[in-house]
Amino acid sequence: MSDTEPSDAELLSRVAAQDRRAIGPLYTRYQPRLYRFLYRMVKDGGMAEELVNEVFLDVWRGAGRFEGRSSPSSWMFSIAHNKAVSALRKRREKPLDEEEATEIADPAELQDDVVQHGDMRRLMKGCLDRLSPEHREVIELTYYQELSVREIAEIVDAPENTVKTRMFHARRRLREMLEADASRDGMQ
Amino acid sequence: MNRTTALEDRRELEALLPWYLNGTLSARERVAVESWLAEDEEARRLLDAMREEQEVTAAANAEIRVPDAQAGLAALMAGIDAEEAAPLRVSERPAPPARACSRGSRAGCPRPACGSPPASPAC
Repeated sequence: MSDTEPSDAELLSRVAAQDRRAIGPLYTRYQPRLYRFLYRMVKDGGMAEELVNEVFLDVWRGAGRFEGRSSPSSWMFSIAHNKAVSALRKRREKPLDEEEATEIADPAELQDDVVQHGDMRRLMKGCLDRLSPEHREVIELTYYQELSVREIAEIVDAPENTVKTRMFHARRRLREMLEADASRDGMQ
Repeated sequence: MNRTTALEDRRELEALLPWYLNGTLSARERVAVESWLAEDEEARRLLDAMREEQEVTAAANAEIRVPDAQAGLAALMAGIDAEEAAPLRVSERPAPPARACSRGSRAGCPRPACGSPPASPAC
């Protein structure tokens, strides 16, 4: 960001004053990150696109209530987190979906991947997709969005120790799934 | 820190490792993790595994085609326009109107908010 570009906080304060010209730069800055996050959560492009706009509608309506206790970025991601949780709840995606997804994973596709790419990374990507939403979320926010423990705690509204523990279990689950898939496909 | 690092400390350091990788630890935490990495091969193996997980996560995100921002922004502004042009929602009205809605004013029936269904078919 150059010196001439307004900070997130400045833009948000202008949005709070209902300055329509401030919403554009904020949207352009955050839409790709929020879209990717929401896409990884709900696994549906159309729904992710709708949810991004719902997030920004909430930002427009609620910027006046933003008190600066967290960063503007964490605040917007926390709105996105809530939208994703509601959308998944409506779709009745339960924590157990991980096991269900494992059952419906297409072994032929996995086998094809192994043959074509010959590496564990394709398998790992499939395992990431099949993690529970809670585990997938902490991995995305840490590895891809590169947020701190404190920021993630603010976003998911949980204590920092819970975030660390959740990440630990998410990684362990990922490795268990990867091992099972690799073993099934004769890679180990 | 040496090989006698308490199990509890190792767990705490392992828990911090993903955030060492994404560069968001405090200076104190970073120093503690770095000295653990310097002396413990298992810690370095763990970090390598996390680095691979991070790369796969990045690759999964790179495959996502982000929709055109200008089109999304136009849709958002249209949504804001529509919302502002629409009458305030019931919950946003400053005070209930003095007059009752004609529907629901029958004796013995609760008075519904305008636009909401009656409490019972009889009302």
